[in-house]
Amino acid sequence: MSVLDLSRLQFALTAIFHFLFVVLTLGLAPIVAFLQTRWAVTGKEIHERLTRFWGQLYIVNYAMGIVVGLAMEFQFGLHWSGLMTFAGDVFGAPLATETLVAFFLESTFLGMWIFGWGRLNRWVHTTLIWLVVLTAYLSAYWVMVANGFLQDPVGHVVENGVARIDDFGALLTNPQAVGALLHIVPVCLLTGSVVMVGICSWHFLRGTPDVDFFRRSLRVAVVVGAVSSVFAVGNGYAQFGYLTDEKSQVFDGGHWVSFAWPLMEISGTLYMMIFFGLAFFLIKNAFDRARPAWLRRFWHRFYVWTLPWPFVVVACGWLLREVGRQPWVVYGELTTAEAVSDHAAGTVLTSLVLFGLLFATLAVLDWWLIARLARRGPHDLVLGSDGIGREEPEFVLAGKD
Amino acid sequence: MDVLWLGLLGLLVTGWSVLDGAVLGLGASLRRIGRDGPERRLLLTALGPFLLGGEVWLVATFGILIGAFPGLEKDLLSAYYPVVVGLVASWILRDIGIWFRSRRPSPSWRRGWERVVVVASTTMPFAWGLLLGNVVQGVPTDGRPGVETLFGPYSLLWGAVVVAVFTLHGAVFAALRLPPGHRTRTAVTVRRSGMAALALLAAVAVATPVFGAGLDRPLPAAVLGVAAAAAVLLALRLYERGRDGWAYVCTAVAAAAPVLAAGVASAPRLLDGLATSGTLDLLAVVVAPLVPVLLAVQAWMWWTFRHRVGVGSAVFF
Ligand code: HDD
Ligand code: HEM
Ligand code: HEM
Repeated sequence: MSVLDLSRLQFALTAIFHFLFVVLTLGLAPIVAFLQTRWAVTGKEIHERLTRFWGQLYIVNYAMGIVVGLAMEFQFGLHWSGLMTFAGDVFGAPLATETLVAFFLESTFLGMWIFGWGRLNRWVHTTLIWLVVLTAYLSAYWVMVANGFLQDPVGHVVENGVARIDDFGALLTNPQAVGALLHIVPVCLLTGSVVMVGICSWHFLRGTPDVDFFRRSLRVAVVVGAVSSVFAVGNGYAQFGYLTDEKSQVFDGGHWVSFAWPLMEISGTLYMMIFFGLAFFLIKNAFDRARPAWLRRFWHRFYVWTLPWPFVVVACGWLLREVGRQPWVVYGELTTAEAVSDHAAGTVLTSLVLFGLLFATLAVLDWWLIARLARRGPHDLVLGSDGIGREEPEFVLAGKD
Repeated sequence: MDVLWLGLLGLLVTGWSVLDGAVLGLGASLRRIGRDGPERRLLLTALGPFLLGGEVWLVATFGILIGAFPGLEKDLLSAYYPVVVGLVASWILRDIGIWFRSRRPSPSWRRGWERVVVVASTTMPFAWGLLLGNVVQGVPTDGRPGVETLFGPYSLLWGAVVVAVFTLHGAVFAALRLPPGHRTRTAVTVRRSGMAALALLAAVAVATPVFGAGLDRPLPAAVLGVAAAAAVLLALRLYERGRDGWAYVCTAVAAAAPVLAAGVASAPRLLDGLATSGTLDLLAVVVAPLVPVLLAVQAWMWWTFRHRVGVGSAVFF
């Protein structure tokens, strides 16, 4: 494999791993914030448990999103020095803005949210999670501005072979950025609700004692899923308005990633139907009374087993978008072959293997931990605990005054 | 105007050295200061609120490098590829170690991740020091310096300095955050790493002229070196008197010194990589007004978690 192939492979691997976690972060964050707001208003114990249970899944997922994001940030300088030379002045600006305006605040707020439990006033604490949501979505926007520029380079002039910004407004309103984001946001919410429905179904199958807890969760998830699937599909079709010619050919078939398009179209349509179907069954808990019982169990199993599906679709959607841009890094202006750094192939292969193994191992462990927490149900919650009354012998801080 | 961008870069990277330097240093001594499981969890609870808010300063540093210094970022990352890969890999492992360690009750799971935290929290400052030591010797505009420079004795010395200073800083940070009864656990680490830091700082002072590292501006760098040594001495005294807060301030100066010294010593070279004025004007409009907000939010965070850990502290890591 050439340096170019290896660098592309490493980018693709890092980006997809990053997005697999980010998509759930972005999907669960607003739901957790909503649950916490309800808790702040009512002060009821059930709402507290809802916040802490879904919140801890969200947080453990967050960890991997962050660390793969770290690796992501270094990809451009490490492997795409030609891109930095040609377009660094243009697409560096949104990325720099993202780190300062979004990540910096997001990380600080998130740390305060996790550790401010029981210490901060409940309204301040609730505001913090909304600020995390806001900054997370802000970071998605800025990143898509950078990515949108690569898809369709607007708002710049080329002087002496180097691109410079001449219309920042055009960069910020690039349909390739805004349109993609309008598709991505509902996709994230859809993914979050599919995960929630899957976890709730697992507990229903197991005959969990916390029926009320998971019924409430299911209700929120189904409403979010029904609304977001409509927007995911609608805004997905809307993107055809500005696909570049070469991309349209990829959509028409014949390219190895063309398979991704029917995959998205069919999945999106099915999710829309499923969520609207589910919404009917929520009325007066009709699902519990549905007969025969094996059919009910079949559907529960279906939701559990298809839980990973949106992640597959998301990865394929990105492959379509990014591979479909080939051979360009900056569409029509700079090819990947021109952009790649001139390292020895062995060097890039070494870091590819290192990061590949690291991400694969850590991702599997992280999903396993999330699954364990999800299975344990709303008992013995970790998030927001002060260490008192934990079953493990490791007391932590209780009675240490 | 250009100097302001270098100043912002300096502010971010110094902020990282001080804040995450303490978390890294504490991580490196996690199994030495904490004797058993509960003590180690206490330490993780002590550093917990500062992990995310500390490391994000380095995220922002590289963000500003990409945005305002694209030429420099490309040169740095191409030239020091292996070191940067090591830095990122150990960063990932440090974070994940802290997040994963307490997620299962199994003792072997916990021991395993504690070891990961210790090794990664030592490797990351070491890689950072290597990077600084190399920057001081001049960033090539093309290609990579040879192994004899990249991992040469002079660069290795810088790596060791940063590890020693961060370890001291982390131990003092632990003393500042632990419940009073546990504070004394840090004494041995503070003393040893303090001595090591002094010896290594002296070694750098001797080695810099010997190795003929062509500093662009040696004098201010030397002043910073002396300041670091003085700060370490003072910190040791203050720590012994139980003035943990002031000792932390002193070790913070020592933790910031290496990166500041490397920065001032090579400032002219660093400015070569600056972006064009159009981009900078734009960033100045979008980003600069926000810097006070960022600082205020961080200050709020430190204020919220200013007390020693104790009953009622949220336990997560
Ligand atoms: C669960 C995930 C999921 C689902 C159900 C769908 N999509 Fe999608 N789609 C994505 C996940 C995704 C994505 C991974 O999030 C992408 C990749 C880049 C992007 O902007 O979003 C994407 C990109 C993407 C693009 C842009 C490709 C490019 O810019 O090159 C189009 C035209 C569509 N989608 C269209 C659709 C339509 C019409 C759907 C439903 C009928 C649909 N997607 C469902
Ligand atoms: C080249 C592209 C990208 C780079 C360099 C990048 C970089 C990063 C970094 C460094 C972090 C960790 C920040 C922290 O310390 O808090 C992060 C997290 C995050 N990124 Fe990305 N990212 C990229 C693509 C994306 C995309 C396409 C999205 C969404 C559409 C996204 C959304 C997020 C979000 C929401 C987080 C915080 C939540 C989480 O970690 O799960 N990023 N990213
Ligand atoms: C700011 C956001 C992003 C930027 C600036 C960006 C930029 C790039 C660059 C420079 C490459 C390498 C050159 C190339 O192959 O075209 C690339 C490839 C790729 N990216 Fe992105 N990317 C971004 C976000 C993402 C995300 C979030 C994903 C996936 C979840 C992704 C998936 C891919 C894939 C699969 C490739 C490999 C395509 C190929 O090599 O054929 N990208 N992208």
